Amino acid sequence: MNNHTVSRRTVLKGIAATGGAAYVPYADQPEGLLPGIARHYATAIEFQGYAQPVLATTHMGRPTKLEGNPDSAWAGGATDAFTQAACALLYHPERNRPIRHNGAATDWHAFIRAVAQSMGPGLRILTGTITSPTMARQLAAMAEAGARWHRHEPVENANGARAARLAFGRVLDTHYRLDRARAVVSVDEDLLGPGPDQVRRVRLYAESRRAGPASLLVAEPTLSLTGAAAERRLASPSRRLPLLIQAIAVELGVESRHPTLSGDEAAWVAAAAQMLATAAGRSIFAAGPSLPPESLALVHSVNHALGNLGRTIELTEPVALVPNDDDSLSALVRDMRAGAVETLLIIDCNPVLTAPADLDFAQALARVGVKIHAGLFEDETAAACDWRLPLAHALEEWTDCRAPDGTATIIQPVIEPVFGGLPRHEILATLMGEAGIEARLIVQDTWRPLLDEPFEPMWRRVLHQGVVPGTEASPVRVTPDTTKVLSTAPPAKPGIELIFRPDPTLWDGRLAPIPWLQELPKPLTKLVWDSAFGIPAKLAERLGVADGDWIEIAAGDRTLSGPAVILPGQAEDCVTLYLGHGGTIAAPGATGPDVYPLRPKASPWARDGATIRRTGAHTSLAVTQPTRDLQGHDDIVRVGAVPAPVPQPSLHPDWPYPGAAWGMVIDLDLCTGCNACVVACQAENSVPSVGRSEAALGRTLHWLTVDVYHHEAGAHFQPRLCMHCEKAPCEVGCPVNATVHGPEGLNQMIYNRCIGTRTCASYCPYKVRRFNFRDYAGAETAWKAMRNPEITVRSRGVMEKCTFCVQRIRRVQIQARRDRRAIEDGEIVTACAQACPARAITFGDLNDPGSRVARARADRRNYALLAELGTRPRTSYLAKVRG
Amino acid sequence: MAVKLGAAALAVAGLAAFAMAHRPPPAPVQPVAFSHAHHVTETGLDCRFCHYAVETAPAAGLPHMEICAGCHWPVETRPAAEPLIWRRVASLPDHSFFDHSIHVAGGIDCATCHGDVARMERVSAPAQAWTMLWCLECHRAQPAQAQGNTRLTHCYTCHR
Repeated sequence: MNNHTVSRRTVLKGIAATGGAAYVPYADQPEGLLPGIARHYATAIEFQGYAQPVLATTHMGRPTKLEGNPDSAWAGGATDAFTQAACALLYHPERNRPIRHNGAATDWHAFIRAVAQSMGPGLRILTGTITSPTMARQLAAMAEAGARWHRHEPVENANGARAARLAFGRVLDTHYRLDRARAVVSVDEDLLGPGPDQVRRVRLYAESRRAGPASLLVAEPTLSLTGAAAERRLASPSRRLPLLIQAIAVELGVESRHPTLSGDEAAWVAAAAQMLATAAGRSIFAAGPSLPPESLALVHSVNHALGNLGRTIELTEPVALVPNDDDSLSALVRDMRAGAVETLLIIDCNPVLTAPADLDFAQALARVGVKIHAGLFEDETAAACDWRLPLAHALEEWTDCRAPDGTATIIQPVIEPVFGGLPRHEILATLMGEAGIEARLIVQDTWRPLLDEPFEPMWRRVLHQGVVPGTEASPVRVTPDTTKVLSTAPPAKPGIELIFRPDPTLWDGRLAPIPWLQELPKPLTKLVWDSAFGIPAKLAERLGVADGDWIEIAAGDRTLSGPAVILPGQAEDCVTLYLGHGGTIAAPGATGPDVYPLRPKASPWARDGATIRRTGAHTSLAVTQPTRDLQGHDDIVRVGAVPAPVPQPSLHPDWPYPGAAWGMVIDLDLCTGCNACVVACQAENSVPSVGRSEAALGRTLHWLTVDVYHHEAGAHFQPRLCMHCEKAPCEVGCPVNATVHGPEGLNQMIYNRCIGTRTCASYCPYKVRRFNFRDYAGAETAWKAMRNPEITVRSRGVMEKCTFCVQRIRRVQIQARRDRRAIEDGEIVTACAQACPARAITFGDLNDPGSRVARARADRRNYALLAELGTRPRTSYLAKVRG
Repeated sequence: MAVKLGAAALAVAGLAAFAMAHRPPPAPVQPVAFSHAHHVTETGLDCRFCHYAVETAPAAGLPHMEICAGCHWPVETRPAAEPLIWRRVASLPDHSFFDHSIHVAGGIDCATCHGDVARMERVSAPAQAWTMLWCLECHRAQPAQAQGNTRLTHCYTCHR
């Protein structure tokens, strides 16, 4: 193929010579390629080492959008918000390049020469979580030559692994079959929150909600998406949580020592224990990584006593590679200090920023002979290394990976490395003295003995499907050893408890370079670009602090200042600090403080004995939804019975819809506020981010937002997008007919007619219209490559808003008409509906009485937002079910 | 003021004159002297032989070098191909989304929009300018329109 390709330079020169209007057909065209038709490749991207199986949409060789792989039983065709932003990472203009040695650009051959003799006991490899069978095979081969692998993951469930060792004698993974559960009790386990397993958990949770009433009880120090969905929630400091578990165990006869509880705690425990017992065998008792291993082991025993193990909770051998040491990073740092590490290769991991501060990783690193960093960005760790290798993105390289259920995906590149990133397997092969072997062959070597014969057709089949059948982790039948004694929690130090949580949109900081995710409103606070310390209302009152006022936190010998935000549902005297901010790779404009320095190694999730004070400084926080409670307007988010709609008169004649009439129904009972739809909409419709200062002025461009309304038990979420009203006020308001009613009910926004009076936006009662105050889309960066070519790029001075993904409607309509057939229900899927793991969004033809959307609209829970205005929206909502 | 108005009137008149007397620009010089007249009229090739995607995709597609080589070079002596950089002779604005396949399926002949390419030695833009009005005239004449369905004449038909 290479002898046929022409340099990019030649083509660009040619295009310049023709004045820009050039057409360059392939010399040697890929088979089956059609101009203007997207191609889809089954592959996966990695999140924290776990596969997120996707179909990558590519236009003329450029990946532009990822969809969940419907052939993956784990994903079920859905994705989370992080996966939707993966293309923005792929094309990130700040990505690492080229190979550097001590700051000077060099090449791959120099690196090969430099590391030729490094194999042996002095070689260490530090990575995050690894599920890749090929990586495991390479690391095992290196271990035989004496090299050792270490793992560092800032957000991990180390206590879960320790608990499994206590209860079962070995590390096992816990899988929650939420679909089979009628009652779920969670003690600080964010079942529905972000993370590598979110897609499956939300999908199964939605399945259980669809099947009938299911109860969810939560106790946690700081509100999570799980807590928001709970019908009963106890805000409890971290230090009290082990006692709650102990008390539930006592109630269910698994433990005999009664803890002393407050009245609220006792009432919550009684309700939780009763629910678990009533639904025994169909209930889930879950506890999170912040709990001590002994408590988590006790939870296993309770689930065993209830008959939940093997039914609603499945245990499998670990999907990820388990390091030799219980505390893998500490072991490495010890050896680094002792001078035992000659060469350290760090792959896709940023310990200088994210390792616990008391380990002082940076100081230990200085004692290593040869320090190699391979990553997507030149982060803090890269800056401290001699060798900096640009790493390939998962969409650029051959590798493999397992989803949290164990199912393997062969990751195939869908584009040549955009910035010359190197495949990780080739870097490892080089250290093993096998430089020059292609990653594809290395991956094939792993799978040759594992796939059925003959290899080639089988290989093609698993590539095509995107999942390797039969690789899911199979459940093991084990009985927890219940004789383990419960450790007594150390007495809590007086003062403030600090709660550490991954940022809901940036995770541990690895996603901080992506402007889309910086500008993705945090589900519960709606902060964008900023981060703030979450404090309870009572503490705020005591300190005299309002949103945006700065506080100083002192813990141990360190202090940290930053703005505060009042968090509803926060446990008393608990302050939540979000990880993932303050790194050098964060997108410009991000302001969040780096809280890693306060995070101790011994207890990474909570730390007591802190003090806080008001500093007097103030920041005006960038928030996309300033009012986050309903203020009595319970008709916005309805819970339970919906009153019969009152017909509203109109002076305008009704529209005829001789063909289709597109409509959407959003089930609020299933929406968990995960934000997947928001980023999916941005990726599909090339919605740019506007930056911190513009966002603070309320100029974000999201066509779809998810509103949050806090209430006593938790929070409601409500996705809000253009309602495509039958009697649309915007259509009446526009002086130049730039927004008009289409024959299929779409409220059409015509950019070329728009002169930017913004009348439509002020007439819109739903506030879903967005104005391009500046040329947000105009920046000439590599990000241009991920724009969807099927839609118009909006320029400055133009209004834009949700189109119901008209480009997807047209594509299906054209195909169906060409084939002389009718459009099937469900054939047209909007980007938001396709991404939603809960399948809360239904789109279709309201004129077809049998369509899913028409049936959903006939549901008794169906209601229109602000129905009294007589706008007759074609996006309607299904009310939440009362717990 | 009067001068300004006069200038404006002149400009408008000028535009109108331009619209009426629209003449396509001269055929640009292409990287190879490709003659449609030879390939279509003399040799008898169908348009779809080279514009292979016209029935299945939004863009008709330009032939990749393997298609050319299929006739011009036997496989054994075929040189390594280099892509040709053609100059566009006619283009639509970026906010218009035209789909060849649906128009061909609807029985629209290539020449309707592209002119008599089959007789062109050097390909040039069609004499008929691709204005929105011109597209609409055809769209308005469709049977669905007569039945009261405006799906072919509303904005989102072509613009998104």
